[in-house]
Amino acid sequence: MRPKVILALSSVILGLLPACSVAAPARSYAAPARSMGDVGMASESVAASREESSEDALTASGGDEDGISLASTPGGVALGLRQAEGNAAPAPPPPPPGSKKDAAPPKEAPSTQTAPSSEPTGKKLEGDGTVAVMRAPMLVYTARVNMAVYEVKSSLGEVESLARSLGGFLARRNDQSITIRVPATRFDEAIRRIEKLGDMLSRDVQVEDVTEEFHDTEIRLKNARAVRERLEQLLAKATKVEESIQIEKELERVAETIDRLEGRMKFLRDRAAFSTITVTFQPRSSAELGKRRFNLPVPWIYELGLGRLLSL
Amino acid sequence: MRSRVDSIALFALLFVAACRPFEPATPPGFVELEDRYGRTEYRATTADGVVIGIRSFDNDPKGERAFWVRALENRMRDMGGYALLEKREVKDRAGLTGTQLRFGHDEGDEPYLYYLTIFVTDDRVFVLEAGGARPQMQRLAEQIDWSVKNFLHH
Repeated sequence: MRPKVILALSSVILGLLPACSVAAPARSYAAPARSMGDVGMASESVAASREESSEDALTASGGDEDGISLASTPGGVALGLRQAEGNAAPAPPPPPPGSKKDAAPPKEAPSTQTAPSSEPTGKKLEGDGTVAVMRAPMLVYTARVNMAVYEVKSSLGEVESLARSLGGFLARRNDQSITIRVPATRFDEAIRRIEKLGDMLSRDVQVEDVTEEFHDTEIRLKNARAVRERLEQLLAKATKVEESIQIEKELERVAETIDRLEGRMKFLRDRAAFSTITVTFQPRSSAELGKRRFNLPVPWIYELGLGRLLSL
Repeated sequence: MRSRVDSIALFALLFVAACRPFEPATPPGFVELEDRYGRTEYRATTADGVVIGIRSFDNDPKGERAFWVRALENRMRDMGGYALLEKREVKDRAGLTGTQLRFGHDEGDEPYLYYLTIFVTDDRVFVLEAGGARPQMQRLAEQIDWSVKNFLHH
């Protein structure tokens, strides 16, 4: 009996061993998780725990000793991931259950991390669970500055040096005007410094929001690339010459579209990254003034100036 | 007797016509360019091209000094592209307070200075101008200031 019991017990212990060996790494998943693979694994483990009862979920999240705090509701998954990623800064307090923020992924988390939490489990995202992707607005700053015509040569040189000192560059220069590009983050500073170069007669700053255009172009580019991929697959399968020619023509057209869209995106990125400032040293034209100013009905004030005074 | 009265009247008329509503002060180094300009205008120049001039106009529309200063400043900066370098208060020989606008302007590639001084009375606006290449203007700064201080309005 005894040998049989011992044998039975040992078989039970041996049978449990694999479970222990799997459970051990599962508990230690998040503490050292610094790589993407580790995070993914953590995500799966947490997703699995969400399928269990809330008690189990709390048990699984009780690994505080590993430096993880997953004791919150399922919304804490994102929290757990953030902690696993950074493992340095304290995690923010969890959002209230059922709120929109619950479903929204942390801004830093790549979309590949959020997908497994819903897709593998087959759960549908609720109306509130839509993933909102926040994009910083893409703004293009353009300024036109009109300066008085005094010491133009040296001022042109100073504007050019100013652009370089701010990490920008000269775009165009002639005898009366200069166009510089400066990093968008230093736009205000550039304007302030230009103001000090002389007598600023007027300033016109325009801000163009190209976020939507950029996003649209990005989507169109993605679609065009998908079409190209499909066409390439079709081309590989094509058996007739006519078919191949047709597909190649189409491929060429799609490639052109892709080039154009890529160019447009590059252009928009560049315009947003570097603001354009044009400084002109000349009086405003009468047409320009006519739109905005009235003319005082006093003829003699239009006869003042060096031209008349020095004509003896 | 009749001819004597006529002569006096004619003399008085000529005197009034010839009389300027101001008394200019020509500084050393400048020569007055007489007979070339009307009764309401005065000009003097140096040999190397610094010119001072005085003109007077009716104060019409009737405005305070601040009004005329602003009007001239706008005109010179916006339409002329002149850089306003300095604005200061000055007084003429009678103690009337005026405003001097100091402008800079490039003529070709060379920087020039142009000073515009305005005195305003109830009836008249007096405009004193001084202009020339910057080095000469700087050299003659004292003389130009002297001509403003010794200007006398009537």
